[in-house]
Order: sequence, then C-alpha cells, then structure tokens
Amino acid sequence: MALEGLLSVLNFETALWIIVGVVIGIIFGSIPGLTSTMGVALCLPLTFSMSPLNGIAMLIALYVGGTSGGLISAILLKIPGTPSSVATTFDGVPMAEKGEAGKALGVGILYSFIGTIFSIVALIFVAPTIAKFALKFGPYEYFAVCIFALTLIGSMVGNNLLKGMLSAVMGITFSLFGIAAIGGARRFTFGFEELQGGFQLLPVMIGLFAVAEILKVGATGLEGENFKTISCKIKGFGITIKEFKDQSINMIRSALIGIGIGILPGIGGATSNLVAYSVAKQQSKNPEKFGTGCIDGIIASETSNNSSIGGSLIPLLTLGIPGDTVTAMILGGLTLHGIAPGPLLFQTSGTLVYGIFSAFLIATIVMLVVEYAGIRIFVKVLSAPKYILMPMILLLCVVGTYGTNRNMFDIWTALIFGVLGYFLYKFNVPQAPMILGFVLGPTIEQNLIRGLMYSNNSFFAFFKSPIAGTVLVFTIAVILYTAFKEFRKAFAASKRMNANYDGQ
Amino acid sequence: MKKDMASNIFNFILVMLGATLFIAAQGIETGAAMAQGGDFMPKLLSGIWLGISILNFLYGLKIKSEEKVDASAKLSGFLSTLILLAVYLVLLRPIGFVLASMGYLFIQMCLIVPTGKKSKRTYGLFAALSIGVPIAVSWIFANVFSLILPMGLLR
Repeated sequence: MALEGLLSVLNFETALWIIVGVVIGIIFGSIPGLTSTMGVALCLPLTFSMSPLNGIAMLIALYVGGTSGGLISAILLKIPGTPSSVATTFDGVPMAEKGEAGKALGVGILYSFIGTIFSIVALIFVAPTIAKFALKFGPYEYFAVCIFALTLIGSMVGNNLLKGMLSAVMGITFSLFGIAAIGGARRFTFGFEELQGGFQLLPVMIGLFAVAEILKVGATGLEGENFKTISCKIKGFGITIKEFKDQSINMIRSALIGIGIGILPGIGGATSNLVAYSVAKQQSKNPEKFGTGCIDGIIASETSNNSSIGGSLIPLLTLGIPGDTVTAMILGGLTLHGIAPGPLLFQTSGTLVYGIFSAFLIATIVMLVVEYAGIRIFVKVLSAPKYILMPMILLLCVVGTYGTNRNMFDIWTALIFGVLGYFLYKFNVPQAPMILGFVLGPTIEQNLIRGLMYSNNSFFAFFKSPIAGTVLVFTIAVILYTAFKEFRKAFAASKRMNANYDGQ
Repeated sequence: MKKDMASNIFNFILVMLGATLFIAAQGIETGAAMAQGGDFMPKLLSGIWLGISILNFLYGLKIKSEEKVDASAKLSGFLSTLILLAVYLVLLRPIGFVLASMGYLFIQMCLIVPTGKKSKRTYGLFAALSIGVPIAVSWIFANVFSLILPMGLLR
C-alpha cells in the first residue's frame, strides 16, 4: 500500500501541482500579511477540478511552503511573514545586521526541512498512537499545558520581568475582547458592533510588527541608513558539521515540541516556535547569546514551527479533527473530494493516505530546493531601499489583512496595534509575551471555564488529573525558580549599584 | 522630553488603560454559564493588568532608566506617518484600493526618503511604482485568486 501510494504521486501532473503549491506557499509565507492560511483559502477553489490526490497534495505543499516562507521576511525585514516565525526574528535579525543574512537563511531553511521530516516520520509511524493519547486531553489537561507554555515567557522578558508579565497579561486581555465562546457574554465591546467578534491574530501581528515598523521608520527617518545590498555569502547551508552536531539536542527537542504542540487542536505553530525558543534559551549553557544573533534560536524556532505541520495533520487524518485554520481548510478540501478523515481512512483509502504522506515528503524536498536556490533572489528583492520597500510591504499587509475576512475592522485593528507596538518598542516592553498571551488566551479561558463546570467550581479537580496535575506542579516549580532567579538578579544589581554609589 | 518623563507617561497610560478595562469588566454579565461565566477572565486579567501596571509605574518612578533611548525618534515624523495611514484607511472603501494605494504609496515614499536620495529621478520612480504596483496587486488578486479588493470610484 505504501509503495502504491508513493507511485501515485510520482507523475508529472502531481509533481507540478506540488511545485506550484510550494512556490505559492513560499510567496504567501514570505510576504508579511499574506499567510499560509490565506494561501490555502484562496487556492482551495483551484483544487475542485483536480483529482483528490492532486488537490490535497497542492494544499499540503502550500502549507509546507507557507510555514517555512515566513522565515525569509523574519530575517531580512524584521517582520515575521507568518505568526509561526515570530521567534525567528529574535536571532535572525541580529545575524542579518552582522552581515550573516545568508547564513541565517541557510540555517533556517535547513532546519525547516529537518523539522518537517521529523513530523512526517511521526505522522507515518506513530500517528494513531499519538492521536489516541491526545484524545485523553480534556479541559484540565489543555488548561495545564497552556499555562505551562505561558510560564516560559520568563525567558522572553529581557531585563524587566514586570514589563514582560504586563505584556503577556495585555495579550491575554486583548484576546478576551468580544462575545464569550462560553456563555455568550459581551466583553469590552464599548458599544462597537465590530468588537463583538474580538481581535483576530493576523491583524494584531501585522500591527505589532509591520505597522509598528513603518511608524518607527516614519519617526526616526532613514537618514544615515546604509542602502548597500545585504551580504549573502553562504557556504552550503551556512552551518558546519561541528555546529550541526552541537545543535542536535536543540533540534530534536524543538522537533518534539513542535509535533507535540501541533497535535493539540487550537495551538499550533504560532505557539510552538516561541515555546521551543524559550526552552532552547533556558537549557542553553550560554543563554546570554540568545537575541544577539546565534543560530540556536533560529534552529529552535524553525525546526519546531515546521514540525507542527505534521503534528497538526495527525489528528486531522486519524481522527478528523483539524488542529488549526489551515488544517480546517484541508479538511474542507478532503470532504469536497468525498474523503472522510478518521480512524477508518487508513483502511478504506490506504493508497490515498500514503499518497498524501509521499506528497508531503516531496513538498518538503521541493521547499528545500526552491528556498535554497532562491536565497540570493530573496536577499536581492528585500534589499531594495527601505523607503520603497516598507510602503509596498504595508500595501500587501492591507491586502492580506482585508482579504482574510474581507473586513475593514481588521485593518483598523492592525493600525491600533501598530501604534501600541511602536510605543512598546520605544519603551522596551517585549512583544513576544503579548503574542503568546494573545494566542493562548482563548484556549486557557475556554478550558478553565469548562474544567470548572465539570468540577462544580473546584479548581483542585485540575490537580486530580494525572497529566494536568503533573504539568501544573511542574509549572509552579518553574514559576518559583524564575522568581528566585529574578530576585537574585535584582539583589545583585542593587548591590552593584550601591558599590558604585559608595565608590563615587 | 526626557526619556524618564516619557517613560513615566507611557507607564501611567498603561495604568489608565488597565483601570478603564477593570471598570468595564465589572459591568460584564456572567452569561449563560453553570460555573464561572464569560466575566471571570476579563475581571481577573484586567485586575492583574491594573496591579502589574501600578507596580511598573511605581518602579519606573523609583529607578532611573538605564535603558537605551532612541534619541532620533521625532514626534512629527511619527504623527505624519500615522495620519497618512489613517487617511489611507478612511479612503480605502470610498475611493477604492487602487486609487487610495496610489496616493498612500507616493506620499509615504516622499515622507521617508532620505534627503540625500531626493531627486527628480527618484520622484519619477516613486510615481511609476505608486501607479503600477496597486494596479498589478489588484489585478493579480482579482484574476488569480478571485479576491476583489474595494473598488470605490472604479466600480
């Protein structure tokens, strides 16, 4: 069956649709404002006239290209192309500023490839087992996992824990705007009908990164800016064998985080890149290097976000449950072609399933080749003078933000969050905790309320679940450890200041 | 304005925002829920926001800022870009994506182009790009992806 599946995609037509899907995906992923979700949504109608395998192969190729493409603008423009590449900016941008854009891109592309391969292996060999385990997750477990992910902001807050915590709390609060998913209460609508739907992730992200960036350029101007083309020297993928060996633990850990988070519906790549980055920083012998342009951060972010692709396909194919918006649209594509995903899919349409796995694998290889071959082109295009490039990017952000829901309110949301993002930058408030809080906020709330419903308002019931209890205890330990570390840091700083004062 | 003063004003605005949301949260109804309702998290989170922002404000008053300052930032530059963006969004529906984008692109490029790069040739390039790019983007999205952007006057 596996061989038949592989042979079914080894023809010119399927290969062509995979290449087209990957290229469109990379274009959508690399342009801020246009995401893989939008790419899949816009290309879904194109697949109606195709055979089921070709249609699904193209959508999966779009997903692979779109998720990986986000790293290009994250490194070259400081603006993540997709929410999955937010953490790539932390070290990608400093590397590009040091003249190592080629190396950053090469490493990002290679580890996007490796991350996807990890997830394909998981998808093929352990999908049913993992899916069964994920089914055991109820509200207690979801709440515990999300709260644990939030505690990881400790490593993203920079020098000021208060500002980092405030940023995360602001993110969660903004995610609560609109009508409550449980109970239907109106929250923070202030009489505006448009606010009933709350804020969407894409406009918030476009605002915090792209709009804030153009406001920054407007405020500081570009006088004295160096308009030379970004250096693109690269040998191989920009990583030595020794570096590759040193990064193996980071790579495996990030891939497992990506697969694990990808499986859980509603979380996905937007969270996994930030979580993997934080864990890599916490576990590193040299955490101070993170954020200054080290490959560890890019490897963590890009391995995890791409391995979330296979992760999110596991519940889709084995249980018929989509993990995120893209897989929800792929589910639509499967249904339109008369395929019902679920436990029986492997028995009733085994050849098709293995055909999809093979298409996924080929798309990953195509992604590696296209992105690697295109490095110089990306660098050249994105090296255009900022006074030309930034307004163009903003124009495309408007198209992407408007095009997703055809809603003007989303564009205004981007502007409002752009102003907020500018001031956050100006006063050194980190944005990553806000993004993480915004992504996790609705999942935390819904599962907390559901859990309290099950337990008659007793929070202690959360600790009675073995999985949730263990994760929550671990979370408390992480919070206490972070607080202790911060206290020690603050104590040492005040001692240093007193010594300086006495010296004067 | 000195960095510390500006930073304190920003911190105070965050306190005010937190207070506004906290007050607004008190008016949220529970909704149809058996346990905690849709009001629980907004009340909790806005309370935490208010608490942390007050601590942050007080900490900012006590500690002299050692953080790096972007001294080159000009309020006039920030405001002109912000107003331009707001006008662009206001005009997007009435006059359409293509015309509004043409105006936005040209003015934005003129606003941020460095003095040393200003020349007739540069402005010619800006004009060509401002006309060509919105038409191309609109055409691609309409014809390839069936996504119709606001047409406005060109309907």
